[in-house]
Amino acid sequence: MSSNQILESEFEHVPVPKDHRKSFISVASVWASFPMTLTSAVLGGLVTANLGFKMGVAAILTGNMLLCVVVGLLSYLAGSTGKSFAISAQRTFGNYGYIAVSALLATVVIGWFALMTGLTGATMYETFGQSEVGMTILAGVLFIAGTFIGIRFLAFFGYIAGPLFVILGAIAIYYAVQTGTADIMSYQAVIEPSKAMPFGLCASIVFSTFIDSGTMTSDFTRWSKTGWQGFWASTTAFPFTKSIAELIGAIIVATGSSVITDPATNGGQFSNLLVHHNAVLTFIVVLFIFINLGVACTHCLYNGAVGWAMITKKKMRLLTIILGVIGVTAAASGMWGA
Amino acid sequence: MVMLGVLVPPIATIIIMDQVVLNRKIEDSKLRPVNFVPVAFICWALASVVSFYFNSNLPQYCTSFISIITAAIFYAVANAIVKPKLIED
Repeated sequence: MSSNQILESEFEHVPVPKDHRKSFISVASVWASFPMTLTSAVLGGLVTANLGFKMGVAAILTGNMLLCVVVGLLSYLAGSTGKSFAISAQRTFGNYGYIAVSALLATVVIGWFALMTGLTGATMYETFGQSEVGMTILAGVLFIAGTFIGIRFLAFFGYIAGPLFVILGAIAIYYAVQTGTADIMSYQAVIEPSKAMPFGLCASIVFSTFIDSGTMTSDFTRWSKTGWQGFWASTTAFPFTKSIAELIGAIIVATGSSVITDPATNGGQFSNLLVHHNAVLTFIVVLFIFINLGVACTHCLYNGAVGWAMITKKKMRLLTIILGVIGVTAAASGMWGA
Repeated sequence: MVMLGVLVPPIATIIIMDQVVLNRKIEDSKLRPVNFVPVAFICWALASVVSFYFNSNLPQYCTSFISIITAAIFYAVANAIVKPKLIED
């Protein structure tokens, strides 16, 4: 396969032509894998710690159904027109006016890229004692390289990352039940009601975690063959896979596992449940941390690069390198945790 | 995170209202937007202010939902009064 076949045009400045659109499975893979991250599990656990299991699940589903409507309609539009978010925003906010909204969102997602690249290094340090800065830089270089390939890599990455998350999430639930209880339905909030986040705020946070990339869904779903394919591709993520990822975190917290310390702060972060069992599983967990957080990082960097490519009239791949280096530098310097 | 829930949903809602709900002629290549569309920015600002108020004073309500609804109402009303312009090439 030649480099031209791997590095196909990303159509940064024009709508994706019909004959370059991708299959439904390919676009759905890009979206479905994106929310299946440890950060979603952390959030699901945090919401459960604040509201208890039943109300926590209700807040998770409420936030994700709201995302389903908003992101679904934008995805329908993108599949109909083939336009990226920036091109689409140009029509509504103006030829130059779009720069304000596109720059805002494209910058926010680079912040997410830096945060989660830093989180990869931090998780490797906390779980395995590896050099945090070294792991952050290694992860950042790998994530930039993946994003450089483009939408084709995001789809391929999704085929691996989504199933791996579900399998390891199920194993984590098994170990959580072993060290806690299976009676998750009766789990009550660990934070006293006067200090806990109310239901509406929890649902709003569930919604807000993906509203930036969700608003930029067109960057992914412009590759859909039709509007409806774009709509259904986005529904694989909202409400389905994002809810699944957050429910895994919610269940793990609700087991009251002794391994999950301080769920009000750490939520459903479950990587600690998977280590120290056997060497094979530990090795898989190392891969999992890179792949799992890598999915979110490559998607965010792609969003940012497509947005800034339109604003600067440069190529997406050049912006991937520039923004990626900025993000990794911020992550390695510890700014991501600021 | 909370500010994202305040500032970003109106952007998505205004695009949906403009291109999906109110104006379906999205494939007409002869039309292009003006350089700056004040109506869209005013609706974005107003919806953000309302949702920021709810977030600060009434967080028990879902701020994101309020942000979406207010942006949709503001844009629908504004669109009925001042139609955003498109220029023919």
